[in-house]
Amino acid sequence: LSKKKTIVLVGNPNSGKTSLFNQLTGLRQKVGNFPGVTVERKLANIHLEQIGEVKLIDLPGTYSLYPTSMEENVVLDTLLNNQHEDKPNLVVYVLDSSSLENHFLLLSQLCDLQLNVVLALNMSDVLQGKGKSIDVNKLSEYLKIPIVKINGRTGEGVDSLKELMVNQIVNPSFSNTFYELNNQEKKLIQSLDSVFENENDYQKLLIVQHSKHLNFLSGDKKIIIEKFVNEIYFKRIDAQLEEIMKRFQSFSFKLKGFINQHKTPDSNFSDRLDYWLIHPFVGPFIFFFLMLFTFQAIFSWATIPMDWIDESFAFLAGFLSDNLPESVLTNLITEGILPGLSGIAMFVPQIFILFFIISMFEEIGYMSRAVYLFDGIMQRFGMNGRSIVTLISGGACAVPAIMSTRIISNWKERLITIMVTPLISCSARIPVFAILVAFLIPSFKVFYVFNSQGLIFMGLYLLGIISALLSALVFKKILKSEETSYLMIEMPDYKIPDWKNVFFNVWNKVKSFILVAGKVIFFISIVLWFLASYGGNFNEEKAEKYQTEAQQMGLDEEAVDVFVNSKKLEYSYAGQMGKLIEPAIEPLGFDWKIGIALITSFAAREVFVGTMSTLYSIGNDNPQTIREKLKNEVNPKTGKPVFTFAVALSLLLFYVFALQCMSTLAVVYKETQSLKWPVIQFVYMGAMAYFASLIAYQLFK
Amino acid sequence: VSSIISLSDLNVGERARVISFKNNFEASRLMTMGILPGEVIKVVQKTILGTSLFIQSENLRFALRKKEAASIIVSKE
Repeated sequence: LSKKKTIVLVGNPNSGKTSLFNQLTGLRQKVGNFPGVTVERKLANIHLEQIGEVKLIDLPGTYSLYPTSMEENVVLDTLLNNQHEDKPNLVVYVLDSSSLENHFLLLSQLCDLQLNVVLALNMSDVLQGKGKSIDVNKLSEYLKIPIVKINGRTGEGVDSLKELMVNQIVNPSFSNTFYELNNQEKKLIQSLDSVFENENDYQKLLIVQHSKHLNFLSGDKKIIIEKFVNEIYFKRIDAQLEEIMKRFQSFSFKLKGFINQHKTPDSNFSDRLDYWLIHPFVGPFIFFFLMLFTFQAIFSWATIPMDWIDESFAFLAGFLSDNLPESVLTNLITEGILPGLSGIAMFVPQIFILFFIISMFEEIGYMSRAVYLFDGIMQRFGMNGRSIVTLISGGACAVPAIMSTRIISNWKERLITIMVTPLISCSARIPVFAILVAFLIPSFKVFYVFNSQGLIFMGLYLLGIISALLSALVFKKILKSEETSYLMIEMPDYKIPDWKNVFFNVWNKVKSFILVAGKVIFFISIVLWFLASYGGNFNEEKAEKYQTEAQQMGLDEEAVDVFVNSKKLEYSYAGQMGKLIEPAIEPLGFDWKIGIALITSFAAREVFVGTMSTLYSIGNDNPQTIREKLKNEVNPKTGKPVFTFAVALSLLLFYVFALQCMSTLAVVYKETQSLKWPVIQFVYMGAMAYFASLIAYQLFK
Repeated sequence: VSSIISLSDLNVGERARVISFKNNFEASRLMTMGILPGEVIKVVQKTILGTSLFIQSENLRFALRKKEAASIIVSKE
């Protein structure tokens, strides 16, 4: 059985590579990671005439084979390593026709690697809009590789491209070389003969250039290479810059001759739009307006489908528990599995909306402008211009927000953004805040306009933001990185979004969330269900005893059930754990009941409300009722109220800081591909929560 | 008459020709993007605090940090 042929798409960022990939693959695409790095690897099996099934991979966009980021490094690794599993049989080079000269650099490098290349000239319509066209015949004569004009948006030319791909795989043809190695470079690779096998000269040169960062080279080889590099005083970066110059010199003039100018272009639409969008004062204002819209969309519009999902699952659970025989299995399904699935599904609307908007910004070309506007300020905190979108979305929900950090290519900046985003108060904290704020301060008007409790709310949000920024500063100091942080980013022309790309981006995000983070969320929710439902010694007998007790208190039927449930939770493993941790949380002013709520609300912060309502036999989730009930709650040991100013403040602070959200941890695990970061995050936020609560309670009790 | 300065010294709206790069990292990145010595570039805009610059050349619009711009030596015409 011969190995399946591999085809890779290569091109500069903004070359329209993604559009072509989506045209070629449709829903067959799968998104994963390149081995060992969190760089997205999009792959699909597609069918080609004569050849059959082939593997198509969309490599990250890069300007050259001199990488400045992890993503670009992946391209280099794939193309230089002859043993790489994605080593291509064919490269489809996607080039934006309106940037022929700039996008030609990478193509010339691919040609010199003697790769089998087909050139796809994308976006000729854009070039035409600028009053120009490319003479394909002349270009083809010059390059000696097959060329086809395509339109990644409409799919025009994609069939011809497929034919060319087949031809080129069956009968490879190679271009002439663009760069002649200089004497020093030749000498270098000759003396390194023992290191190489069957690589060509330019491939050898690139391996020497990048030896430090290539994972496929053995340590021994790296040492040998280093030795010879030093011996002949080979200056890597100087040689590299000279090579780039020589390349441009070799083709720039020629390429100019292949472009026909028909008419002078109209004044540029992008420039006119940029006058406002990157304006030093108006620009940020517009950005915050757009972010307000985004925030509003995740925060409130998503609740409509979320409520619908919640109710459907609750209905299904109710239906099943009424109609299935009472058993452990029924219990598992209705109280463990269904709420777990519902917990996963609940995030889908938020992920959908956030990525719809972000992808649209990316497609339009607006995202890079936002990066330009906010890079300066975010950089002070060790983050990236793109981080601001993540932090703001974190105000609605950290889960989709953290997933949006994929677009930050610098690992350290991305990691800091991931680590601090959950400190921004999300919508799940609101129900907890709403119940507790009333214990701090009665509701009254401040300066005739502001509500006192509203101001406390604002204070809690500010506290979240400030602590996120301060933590970022700390991480900036602690985390080490060899990657250089830079901005130097291209600002593409504004264009109408390719809706296909928006759709696939959203689709892939939702799918990967469900498949990766969903598994973790599901598992933890089953564990939490088990902890809250089972325990050593709550049996029929006890249930009956409490039932009689409740009836003797003169409670109605519903209240009796509620009372028995609260006792059941008390006896459960979660209840026992609550009692177990009581000594640890007593200095914070929390009793074991609050301890139970802390444990169960690890599922999601808003679960706190439900647990408190069960524990105190309240029987409904209305905040007003819960608040009243909690006010009257008395600690049997001390005879004093449980919920004092100090306890409420301490609890509020706890929820501002603590990472009480398994879904966030699951997503951090997914995005960092390691257990290390979610654990560190859980611990550092937990420590902040503990000490903030401890100080607050001890000061005010 | 031309004066040799850093790109970061230009005001918004001014043009200059790239002569060379002080720093290899910036040189490599910008040259691979197509900004070579000889290229005429214009400062289109700066952010409020002057932390980043928005630049335009014949074929490319791009943004960079002030520090990065400081490493580009240009001659003002």
